[in-house]
Amino acid sequence: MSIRIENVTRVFGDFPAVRNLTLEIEAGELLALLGPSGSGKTTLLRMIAGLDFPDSGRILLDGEDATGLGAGERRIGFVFQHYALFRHMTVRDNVDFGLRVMPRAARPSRAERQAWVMELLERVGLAHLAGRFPAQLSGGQRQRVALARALAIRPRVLLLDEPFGALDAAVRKDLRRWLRNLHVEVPVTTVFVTHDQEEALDVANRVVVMNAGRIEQVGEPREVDAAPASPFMYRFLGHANRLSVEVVGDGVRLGNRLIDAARVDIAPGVPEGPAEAYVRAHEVVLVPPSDPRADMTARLVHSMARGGLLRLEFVGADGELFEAEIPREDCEDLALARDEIVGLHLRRMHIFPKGHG
Amino acid sequence: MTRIDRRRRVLPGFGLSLGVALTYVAIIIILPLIAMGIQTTSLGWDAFWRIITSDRAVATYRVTLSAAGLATLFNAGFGLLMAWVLVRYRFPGRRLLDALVDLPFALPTAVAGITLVTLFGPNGWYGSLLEPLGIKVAYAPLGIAVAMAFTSIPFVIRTVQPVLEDIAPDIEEAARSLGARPWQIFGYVIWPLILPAFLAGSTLAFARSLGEFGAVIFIAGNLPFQTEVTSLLIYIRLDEFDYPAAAALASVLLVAAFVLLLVTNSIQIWAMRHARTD
Ligand SMILES: Nc1ncnc2c1ncn2[C@@H]1O[C@H](COP(=O)(O)OP(=O)(O)O)[C@@H](O)[C@H]1O
Ligand SMILES: [Mg+2]
Repeated sequence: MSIRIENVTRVFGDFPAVRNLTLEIEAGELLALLGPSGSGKTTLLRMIAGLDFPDSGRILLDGEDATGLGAGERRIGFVFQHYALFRHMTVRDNVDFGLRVMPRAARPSRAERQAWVMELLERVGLAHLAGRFPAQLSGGQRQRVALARALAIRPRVLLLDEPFGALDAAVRKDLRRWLRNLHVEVPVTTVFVTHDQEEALDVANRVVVMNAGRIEQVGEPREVDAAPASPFMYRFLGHANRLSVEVVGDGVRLGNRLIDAARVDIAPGVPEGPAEAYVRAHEVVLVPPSDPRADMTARLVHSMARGGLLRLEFVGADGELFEAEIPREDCEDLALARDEIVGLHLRRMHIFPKGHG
Repeated sequence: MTRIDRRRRVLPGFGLSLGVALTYVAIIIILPLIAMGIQTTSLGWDAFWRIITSDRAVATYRVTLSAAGLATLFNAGFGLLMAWVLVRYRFPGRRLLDALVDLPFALPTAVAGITLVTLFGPNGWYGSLLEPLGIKVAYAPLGIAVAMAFTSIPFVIRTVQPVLEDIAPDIEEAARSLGARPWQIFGYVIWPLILPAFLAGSTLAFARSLGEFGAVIFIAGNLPFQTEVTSLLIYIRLDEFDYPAAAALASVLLVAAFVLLLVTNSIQIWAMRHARTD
């Protein structure tokens, strides 16, 4: 089912948690809502589910206005961050709940219900635990029960609020892969909330990044990662360095070095004069300090090996911290030591207006 | 004695504190029970049986049980409502109301009894309204139930309240998004979760009512065979220096109390069956 969110605003007291937000979600999509904590992701998700209502704006499901429809009438599966399982019911009864409360006319027979519940438990790999109570399950298992319970009503949309937030790293990764596969098997429109960019980029077909109740950027995971559209995006995605520069023509001046247009992309509307440059950690190249390619020099303060990559931290001339990420083999001949002064060549700089965002 | 894990010994002097606790239990609970047992056995079985099944004694059981039953029925309903209101609604004066719930525990029962008799007496605020309607409360069986209800109100409220508070909003929202209507949410989700606490609270209220003395004797009228409760009959036997008879009747109340305690505990165990983690 497709979802259309039209100019939706939700205000708590005098705090706008979601501000005039418009978003189109296509049928069958697997969409990630990504954003820092407090950016309004849960609020938006709850409004889609009918657990909360916009103060203004409309929500359309399959083109029909559903703004005033209650949660029970929308047939939307919701998976809560803390599972929200019924602790006095067995796994089987939890999954069966949505079928049991159906109006008599629409309710499948007991045998049909049982078969469907077992099929779902089979699919989430918990058939052998059908008789257990939630307290007797691990976090990952509980999350899968919550998912099976939401799927039991054959929802038109599946919403998941930080589904893996409370789990440890290994289980998260497992469930992530599993959610991707599930979406292939059951291609129901799915929106899941996360504040973990890796999770969003890994699982989703499309990513919506939220900031302070608004959409900051929408795009395919690859696109969002390759071309962050705002200073916020650089800061949020992390491992980006901020530098003060001066825009001169279609290049910039960094300190007393002029960097020409080939290595600089300037956002629309940045005037000549002082501006902010973002350089991502992997866009930094290490060179000897006297090398003509060196755009700046810095002192190495920390290094960390991670897989094939080396993460390096430097302190620049003005005491600012600088991050670089380089393939390990590139620096084997550089024989780096702590407190060593190195030259940094910036392969690409992204320029935004000063003091914005 | 089992070995105590050293890491868990937060407080020093485990042996001493356990000793003091056990001594206390012995002095204030076990010894009196033994003394009562001895008093009772000095009677011999036949005399014992005669005393506890005498017409007057049986009449007190009937009066006590029916009044306690009525009081508990009332408190179960009212207590549940009160707990619901205190947890689910925010209104001015809620905290005051919450504090007032404990009043029957804090108030000396004699004060409660005198107050009730003043209110429900023929010239009292309530009594003057009810008597013309033919409803007699003071010096009637109904008065006993009223006194019992008053002193045992907090049990149901105070056992249900924390459980209700513990039910996270997302549990209800989950039920709602799965299509449950309000009465189904209450019947399938909330009610089963509070039922054990509700039953335990009601049982405790009933147990407390069975033994209520102070508040009851002021309002009961205390006519043998009509408005005489068991605890009063015990007191009367004591007053006549008939200790064995008093002890025999007391043992009946004691057994009743133990049975109720057993019931409450079984309810708790049954209720916690889903919390087992094995
Ligand atoms: N029921 C509520 N009452 C008041 N403020 C709320 C409520 N729900 C959310 N908020 C506020 O709205 C903002 C966005 O919250 P939320 O949607 O939960 O963010 P996220 O899920 O992105 O972390 C937060 O600042 C939060 O404090
Ligand atoms: Mg949230």
